Amino acid sequence: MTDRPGILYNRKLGIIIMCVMIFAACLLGTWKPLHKERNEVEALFWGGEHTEYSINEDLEDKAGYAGNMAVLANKYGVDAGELEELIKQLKEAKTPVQKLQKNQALDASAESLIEILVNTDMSEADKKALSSVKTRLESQNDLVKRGVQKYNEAAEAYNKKIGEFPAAIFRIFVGLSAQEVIV
Amino acid sequence: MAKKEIRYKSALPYYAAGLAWLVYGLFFQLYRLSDILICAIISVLVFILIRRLAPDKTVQTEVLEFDRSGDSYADEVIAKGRDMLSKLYGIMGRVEKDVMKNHIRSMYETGQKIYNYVASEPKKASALSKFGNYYFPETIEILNAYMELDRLGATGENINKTKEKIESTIVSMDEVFKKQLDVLLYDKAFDVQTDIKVLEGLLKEEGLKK
Repeated sequence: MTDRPGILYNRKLGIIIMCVMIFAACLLGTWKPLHKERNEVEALFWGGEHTEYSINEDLEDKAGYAGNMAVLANKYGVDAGELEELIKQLKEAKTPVQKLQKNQALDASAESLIEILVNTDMSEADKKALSSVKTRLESQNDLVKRGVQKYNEAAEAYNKKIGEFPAAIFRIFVGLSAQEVIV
Repeated sequence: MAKKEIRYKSALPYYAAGLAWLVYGLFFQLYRLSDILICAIISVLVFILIRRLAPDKTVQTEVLEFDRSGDSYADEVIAKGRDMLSKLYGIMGRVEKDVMKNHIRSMYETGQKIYNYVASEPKKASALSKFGNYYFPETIEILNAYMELDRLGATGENINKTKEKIESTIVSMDEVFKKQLDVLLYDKAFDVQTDIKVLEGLLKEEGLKK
């Protein structure tokens, strides 16, 4: 009837601690790589450290060109209120999906404004400016489309990973959510 | 009390295996079944390796051993007594206050004598009915409550009074144990005294003693 040896010889405790360590390791081994991947996906849209290119940056540029068009329209008394409002909404949108929805609405508004301005009597310099803005908007659209495609591919790959077993279970404990895919 | 060797296997292999998982999880992806499988294999290998390196610990322990009396009722009484003696021994090892420790040790030693005697005189088992079914279990119960109060480290007027009450009860119980042994041995002592008187009478008759 001697006291039992300490924790180094307590097998029950050892087994419990081992199980806790295994569970913690699974959570760590899930959170670390998937959190990094999620950040990379988000960086494709929002930009960030070590990222030179982002969809959000393209949309900001596009909003800038649309703003130039609104200034041009105002100069000739054409109502550009809707376009200005959409530019504001595009800048304020919080999620990728919201941003892209506002972008589509901005495209439609910009297109109808271009139609009006083309039929408006403008100086040669302003006509050139309008043409330049139109070209830049189209070019930005291409960039955004390509960016969205790349973003969607990455988001789908990430979502697939977190949806498979056993990641689908572990992610609940580490709070990893699915990434929005832009339709 | 007999000596017995108990071998405790090291728990280090379990800690090492768990650590292997943590290290793997830190550097690799543990959300895929393939990685989990690889990690499991590594941890098993680590477990086996550490199992070989970490020595078991052997400790000598004292165990209560009473001979079987051959009487089923007596054996049952003895088994119950042995169980309570083990508990008493455990409490003795944990109690801090010296006075209490001494009384518990005294009760333990007296208890051993009581049950050893019953093992040799199974007919006496019935005399232990109240002692074995009430006094002894109650003593253990009270001591457990005392240890719990000690463990919680609670202080306060009521708690201190309770502890003092338990301490004085244990002093009384020590006496009860001794009296129980005395009662148990009474017949034996009486028989011996009678034998001595008979012997002395014979010696006087033979003129060998004045």
